[in-house]
Amino acid sequence: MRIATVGKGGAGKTTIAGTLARILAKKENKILAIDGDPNPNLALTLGISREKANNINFIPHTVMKLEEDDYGEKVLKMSLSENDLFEKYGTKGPDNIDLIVMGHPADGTAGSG
Amino acid sequence: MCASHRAVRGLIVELTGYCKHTITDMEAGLEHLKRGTAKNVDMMIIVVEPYYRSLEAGMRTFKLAKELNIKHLYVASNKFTNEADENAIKEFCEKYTMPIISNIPYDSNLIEAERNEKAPYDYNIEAPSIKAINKIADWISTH
Repeated sequence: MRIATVGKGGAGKTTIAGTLARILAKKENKILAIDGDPNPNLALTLGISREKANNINFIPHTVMKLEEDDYGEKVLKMSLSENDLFEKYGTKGPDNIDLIVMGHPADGTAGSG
Repeated sequence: MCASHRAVRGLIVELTGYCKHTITDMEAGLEHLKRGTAKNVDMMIIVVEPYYRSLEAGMRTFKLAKELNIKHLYVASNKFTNEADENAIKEFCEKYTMPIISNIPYDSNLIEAERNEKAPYDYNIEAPSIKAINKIADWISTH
C-alpha cells in the first residue's frame, strides 16, 4: 500500500511516519520510506544515526523527467534505473527499511515552475 | 507544477513494485495536495492536534484529499493531554464525517527519545504513543 502522512508543521506526521515504518518492517514487510519534507527528519525517527543522516544524498528533481510516449502523451519517467537510484541515494535503516530523501527548491537545484 | 512535487509524485508511482508498502512523509501544508503530489497514494493519514487551527487545517486537507479520490482517508488524532481534548477532536471529526484511525496521546517518551537521539521505536517500544501507532499498522496489515 502507498501511504502518506500529512499535517501542519509540528503536528507529528514525521514521528508517525517513521514509527509506522518501523512497526510494519518488524512484521517482515519490505518498507520504502520517502522523505518529501523540506526538513528531512524522517531518518532520525526511523532510527538512522545523525551522522549517517547527514551523509544522505538528496534526490534531485531531475530524477523524474517528463517525456512524450508513443501517443504523444506526456508521462513521467525515472531518469535512472531503480538499482542506480538506491545505490546513489538510498540509505538503509533498521529492519531493512530503505529510505530516500527528496531534495527541495531551497537547495537551489530547482525553481517553482 | 513545481519540480519537487512532480518528482515525489512520480517516484511514489515508479517505486510501488519495489516493496510491500511505501510510506511518504509529505511536506507540511496543503501545497502538495493542490498540486496533486499526493494523488498517487492509497492511504492518507491526516495528523491533527487538539486545537482549532489544526483541526480546521485537517478538515481542509480532508476535503482536498477527497476530491483527489484517495481511497483510504483517515485522521490520526495526536498529542491530546486529557479526555476533553480527545473528545473535542472526536466531535469535530464526527461533524465533518472524518474517520479517526487512532488516538495518539501526548507522550513525553517522544521528547526524551529525541533528546537521546533515538528513534521513538528504539527508545521505548511500550510507550503509549507507539502503542497507538500500532493500531494504524494493524489496520494496514489487514487491508
